[in-house]
Amino acid sequence: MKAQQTLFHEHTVTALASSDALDRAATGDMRGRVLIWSLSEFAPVTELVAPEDVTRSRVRSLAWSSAGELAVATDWTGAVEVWTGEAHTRTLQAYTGQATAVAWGGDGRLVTGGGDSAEEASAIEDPLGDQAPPLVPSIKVWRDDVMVQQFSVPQGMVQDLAVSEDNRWIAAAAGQTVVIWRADTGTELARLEGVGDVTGLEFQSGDLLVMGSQGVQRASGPDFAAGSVFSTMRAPAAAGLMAGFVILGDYEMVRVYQLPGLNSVAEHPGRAYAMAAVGDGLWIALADELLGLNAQGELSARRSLRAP
Amino acid sequence: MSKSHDNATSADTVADTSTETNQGNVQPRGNAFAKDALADSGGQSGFAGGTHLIQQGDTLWALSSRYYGNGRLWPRIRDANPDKVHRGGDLIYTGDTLTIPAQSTEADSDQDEESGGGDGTAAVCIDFSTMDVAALAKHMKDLATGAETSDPVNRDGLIQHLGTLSNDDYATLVRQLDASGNLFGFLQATLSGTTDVEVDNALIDTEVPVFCWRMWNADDRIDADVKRANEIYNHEGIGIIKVSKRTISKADAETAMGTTLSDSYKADVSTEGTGSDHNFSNDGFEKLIKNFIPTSVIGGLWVKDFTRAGLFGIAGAEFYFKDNYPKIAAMSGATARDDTFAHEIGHILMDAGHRNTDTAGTDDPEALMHRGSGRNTTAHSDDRLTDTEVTAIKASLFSWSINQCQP
Repeated sequence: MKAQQTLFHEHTVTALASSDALDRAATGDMRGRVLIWSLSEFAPVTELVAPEDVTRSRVRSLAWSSAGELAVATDWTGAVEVWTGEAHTRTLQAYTGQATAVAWGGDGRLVTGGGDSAEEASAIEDPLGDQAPPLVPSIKVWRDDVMVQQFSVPQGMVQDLAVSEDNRWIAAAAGQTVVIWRADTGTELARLEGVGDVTGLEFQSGDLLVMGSQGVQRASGPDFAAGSVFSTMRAPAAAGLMAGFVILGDYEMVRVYQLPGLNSVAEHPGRAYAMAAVGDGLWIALADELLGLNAQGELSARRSLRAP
Repeated sequence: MSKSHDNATSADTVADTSTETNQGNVQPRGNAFAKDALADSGGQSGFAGGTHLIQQGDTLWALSSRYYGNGRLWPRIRDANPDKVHRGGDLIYTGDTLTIPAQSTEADSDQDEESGGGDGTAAVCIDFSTMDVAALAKHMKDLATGAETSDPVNRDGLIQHLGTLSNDDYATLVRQLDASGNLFGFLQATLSGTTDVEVDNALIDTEVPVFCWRMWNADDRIDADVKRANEIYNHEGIGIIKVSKRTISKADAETAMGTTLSDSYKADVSTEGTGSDHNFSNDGFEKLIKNFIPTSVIGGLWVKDFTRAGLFGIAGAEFYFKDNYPKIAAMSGATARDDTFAHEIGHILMDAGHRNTDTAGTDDPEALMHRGSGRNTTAHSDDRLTDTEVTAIKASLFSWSINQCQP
């Protein structure tokens, strides 16, 4: 499929995911537009138009399964759309409130983060405040659209989810806390406290979990018994990992650090809204453009996200 | 709060029997009304005189444009009809017949030149880099209220100049205009009939100007939120106009507040707000607002989030921010729903709280002004304001009617 010049985002991109096997990436923006990109062309090739029964707003999370299914979570529907290729295959009503994060296990399980509406009314009765409905946040694990596990998480929006490559661990970030569970038993293994909201969560090979929180980046392992602070840097608005590198984006600059010494090797001006490992490199969504880093952590491609 | 305009009574009080002219408002270049007037003028040069039966929607400016090819000659029609034109030119009545004097080409030419040309491409007569802000603001306000008709200001040049100002200079300018009581008139004369891409000009007859500021660590959602607001308001005839879209840098905020901030701060909206951990204290937030948000028009401020969990947005500073700031709508960049900005400015425009029942007395969670905890924002329908609410918004102190202030 060839890239189309008519595909672009009118608004800030808020979610990014890739499928190396499909040679595709997906971007979602503040107003619910979802575009599919060709990795090789570094250009959008099609749009996933919302099904008639779904009203999208901000795209919170995108995730691609190894089988080629794309999960899309948008604000305040509580629903997760599932797409295969360009076809909308189903909509999973995962929550009665809000679905904010999605991730796939390698075995086809879909993991969702979000909140169900609480029955009691909000105690806050500000005359001019626009207050969120009370939600009870949780992590849910689905197999064939049947919920098979549910984990409670601390109060706060579930910002990110991660499933380890061997499917042994599930981790979720909510507020300043990261909770890690054994996927098979649902046993809670550890709770790690960040400083400020956790903005990024990634498993790397083995039992290494890297979390980016506002003020402290921390790596934990094995078995997450004790996290160790490996760096304190400026608060990232987004964080990403690629082999040999940590990429942190704050509100002015994206900085590329090389592991293990965390030496700063490159900087790119602009605020990062989303990052995702793509092939051997990484893509970064800035306010109005997309950057591509190669395996050496160098800027290899950039493209405007706005209309040509 | 009074709902009347400072230069005209509300539209609904005159709808059937009269038409307000606001004839002195000057047409910014490039808008559809100006193009129509200029197109009409071609065949009307040297008009020999006659009469005109006033119909709903007529304005003296429009009639002057129609018969003389130049809206700025409207005083000639006013002077020829002292018993038909009221309030110095603000009010005429449908059904009356106006005398339209013959056009004096020589005199018109002189006045045309004096006013900077009748083609809407006035010469630059003001050095914007050294301009007398108070004088310019008064001039623009006078244009908006009809007290002045000669317009030497190049609006494109002015708007371009405003775009080059630093945040500090821009905020200082706005404060000066605000303090002089001329900011609203300044905007009215400068922006009326805007070509803002988020607004469908064909649908609207009332505009609401909003200064839009985003804290450096807040998500960039101004365009998306304004667009959503216009999806809700435009088909009611109301346009939400971005006067500015600026980012308050960390340094700007630290200077305004006089303290060091962290990237992770959230706006503290507690009523007692002592402030800690680099969060805005209530006092700190107030300092920021006073620096950037005007008092005579609406300011939108997008922050990273609020210290109170789950707060999408707030409006009306009086409740949260002590006194004198009831014109701010503040939104959480991280969690606000896509209609929160529309909802918050609705509070200010209507000077009212939440509405949890519709006019029939039944609960209407799709209503824009329904309390956030129960509002259904995902409804497909954008028809979310009642007629009463629309009327209140159009009569608000913070909006102007472009049908009435434009030719």
